[in-house]
Amino acid sequence: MSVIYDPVHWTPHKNVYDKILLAFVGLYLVLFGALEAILHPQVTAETLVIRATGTLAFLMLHIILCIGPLCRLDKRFLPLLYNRRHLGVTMFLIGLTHGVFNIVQFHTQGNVDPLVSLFVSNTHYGSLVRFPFQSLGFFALIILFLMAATSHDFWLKNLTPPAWKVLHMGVYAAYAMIVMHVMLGVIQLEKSPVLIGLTGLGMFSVIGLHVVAAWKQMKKDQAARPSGVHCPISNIPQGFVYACEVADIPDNRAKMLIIHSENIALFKYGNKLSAVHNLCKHQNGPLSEGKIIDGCITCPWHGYQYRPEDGQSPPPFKEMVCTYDVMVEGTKVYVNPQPYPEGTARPPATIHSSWKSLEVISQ
Amino acid sequence: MQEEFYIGWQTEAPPSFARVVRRSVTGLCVLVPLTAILITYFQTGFSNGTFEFGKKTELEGIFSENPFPFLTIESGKDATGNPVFQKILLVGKGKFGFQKAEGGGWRVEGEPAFAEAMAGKGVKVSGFLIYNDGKTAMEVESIEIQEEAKEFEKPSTVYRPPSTVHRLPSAVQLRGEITDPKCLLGVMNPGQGKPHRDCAVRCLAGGIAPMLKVTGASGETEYYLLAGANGEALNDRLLEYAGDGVQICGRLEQQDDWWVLYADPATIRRVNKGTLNVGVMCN
Repeated sequence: MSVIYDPVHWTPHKNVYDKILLAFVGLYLVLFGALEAILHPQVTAETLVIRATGTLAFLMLHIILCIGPLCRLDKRFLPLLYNRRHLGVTMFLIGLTHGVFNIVQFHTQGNVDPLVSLFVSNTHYGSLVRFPFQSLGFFALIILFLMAATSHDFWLKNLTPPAWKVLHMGVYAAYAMIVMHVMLGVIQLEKSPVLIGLTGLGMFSVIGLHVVAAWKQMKKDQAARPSGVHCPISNIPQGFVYACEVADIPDNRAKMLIIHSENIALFKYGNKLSAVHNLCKHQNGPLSEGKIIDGCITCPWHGYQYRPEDGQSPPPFKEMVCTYDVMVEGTKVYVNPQPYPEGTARPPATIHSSWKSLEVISQ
Repeated sequence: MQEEFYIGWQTEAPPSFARVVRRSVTGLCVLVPLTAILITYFQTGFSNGTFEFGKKTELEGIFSENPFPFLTIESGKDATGNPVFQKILLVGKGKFGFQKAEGGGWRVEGEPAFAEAMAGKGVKVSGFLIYNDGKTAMEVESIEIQEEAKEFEKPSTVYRPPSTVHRLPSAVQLRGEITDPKCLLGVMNPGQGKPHRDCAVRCLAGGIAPMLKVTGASGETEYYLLAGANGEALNDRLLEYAGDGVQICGRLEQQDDWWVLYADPATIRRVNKGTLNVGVMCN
């Protein structure tokens, strides 16, 4: 978190992360080059660069895409997610090297402009087998460029989180194009089933992890929908819905609720209960998987913080989320899914020691 | 027991998180090198094509232009003592052929054209050699007509004996891949197939002679430069076939160590690349 523009907000973790990242990049490129020199001494320098950077960027993209669902399945992978921006930008730069070398190699020094050549040399756009696969790589690179260029939180804030999120979901379109770029390109030259198998294994890993993570999330969403509807008890104000038992929420943690399409994080801290919108303003991280630290809801993805009673980030930060009314009747917790404007203070519901106590926190 | 919680901006990660990260890094220590090993080991090998870029060679010989610009040089003697001639296909810089200029002369891309015709004249050519599978081309840097041309025996009277089954003097149908000789012989490696298609299109569009690479059943290869039935350029007609497997009919002519197929473009058919090694002959 930072309130001033800081190109890289270095932390000890980021330092270590980047060193390991660069070590792996160096290891791959050096090993690839050395193996090519030994196994295929006829390879030209340009082809070596194109293949080394292309395969490395493709491998890195797979790792990047696997981190998200892995974190969904096991939150202990979160440290990999926290610094994924550096991984993504590095992958883009390596992919860019691949793209530039390809354009120089295959399209420069000809009778038309290289970028024109990219699209008019092979015009079999209607054929799958002969499809001009290089154009797919070009458009994927454009998407990855936009993502890398806007990866900083400065752009997240200025583009607004929803727009930023949509833009960065473009990575899936880029991945699909890159897979087709590989399958309709170099794989058509290669005969080894090992290379086709590697590509398939990568796709299977990415798609499989996303499917399993989505299935887990779906189960979680189902569990987050309270079984009760509007409370039939007369002394519960109109609009409140039974959410859970007080004991269902661990101390300083939350329960996720989906009530009438409202995604709510219901936090218990001390003897208080507060509800805020479940999605972090930073990157839509699930606040319900966060924790109350120093009196603030702390997002599990990037550590953004909000006060539970008003949904505002502590000064000098300015992020805000919607708040909701909460009430407790004995051991039962009720939430009104009607959201208040972002940052609206709502007094927490108090959990009394005796279940007979009743306190309605509402208008 | 208090559940561990990770915050990226804190200095220490909880032990269980740190343990998973360490295991992930260990996994990457296997995955990253293994990927490099598998890709480099199992990828299709490269040809022995060579491009002597930066190593300038000067050759003297006789220039011919029908149907392609060749420099004919004497490369040695055969068993009977007759001279053996070698033809060097001349190509331009970048993705350009050695080009016919207005007025009948020739020119190197970016250089002033020779106004006078050079066919049959002795020339000194300077450039970078490109060679593979017994075929040689040269990227021409400069060319000059020699006032005192070296006298050769008439090149067309002395040929090396045919050594492959493809060398039939009658009309033939050949199956192979349309490509360009400059890249295929060594400037690019690999200089064929789908990844190279765009480059082959640019080279053919730039005037480099189109070439058919035919692979025999046992893997031997032969190369056929493609011209129209009357020696006219087929480049524009073949652009859409670059990098593809085709079958094509025509009349074969041997020019020293090169084959030229005077092809009928109407007979071109795309064929599955899987059948490229079936060399079909016809009348």
